[in-house]
Amino acid sequence: MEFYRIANCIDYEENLVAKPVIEVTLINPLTSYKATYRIPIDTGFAGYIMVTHEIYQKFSSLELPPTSFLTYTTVIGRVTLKRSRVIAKIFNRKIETFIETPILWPGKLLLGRRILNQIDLAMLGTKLKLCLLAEKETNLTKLEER
Amino acid sequence: MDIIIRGINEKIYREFKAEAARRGLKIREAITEAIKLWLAINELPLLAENRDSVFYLLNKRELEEKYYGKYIAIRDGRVIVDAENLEELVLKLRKMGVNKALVIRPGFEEEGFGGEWSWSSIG
Repeated sequence: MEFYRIANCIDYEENLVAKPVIEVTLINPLTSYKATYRIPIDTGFAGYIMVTHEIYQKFSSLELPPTSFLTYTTVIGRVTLKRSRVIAKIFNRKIETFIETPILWPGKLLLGRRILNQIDLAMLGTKLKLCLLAEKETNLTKLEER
Repeated sequence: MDIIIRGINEKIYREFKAEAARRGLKIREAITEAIKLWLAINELPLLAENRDSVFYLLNKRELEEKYYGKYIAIRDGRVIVDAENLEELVLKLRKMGVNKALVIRPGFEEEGFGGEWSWSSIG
């Protein structure tokens, strides 16, 4: 059994039905321009951080060539997303990653599984909080290390 | 996989074979590259308008051999900077006064199918 402690939490966003969001600071590596967004987490999206066209413009100084744009399957067919390299700060942890936005559609804010699989989160639904987890050091783990 | 294709134009095939030999490619490698190029252009009309993307696509193989795993920045149809990591690349670009470039890690970037984008978040 593993024990985790809650390192940090953020309240769900109010909605018809409250939704879990995460605060992400995007940093344009080249210009150092930064801005913070509350982004809904989306386990149904396999990609990185989807943003609107307007936000993409501000952070796309280091875009990838179209051959490295990823194509996702949706119920209405295939959608290709532009991709650009950024730094994302999530709960004080900085990671080198990507923002994406549809070539033809307006796009929206979503945090996909390629990011979610790099962090440990807990959804405390009854408390309407999304929390970052950190492994808790217990007497048991100390014993195991000996 | 193995495939058999009938009815290929002989003249075009001979030219293709000769060009593959000049580039030191086996026929299967040249055909694979040609298919990739065709798919990319077919799917992404943006490519035709982007000189740097076209440069990358046409020189992808050579760039992967020369800069495998490194970070490179392409601008005005050529590689302007290479670096071991993003931080180093950014410092070099800032020093050159570059405010936008195509940046890629040859041989390391994902391509093609990215997975699903489910119905719940599309609306």
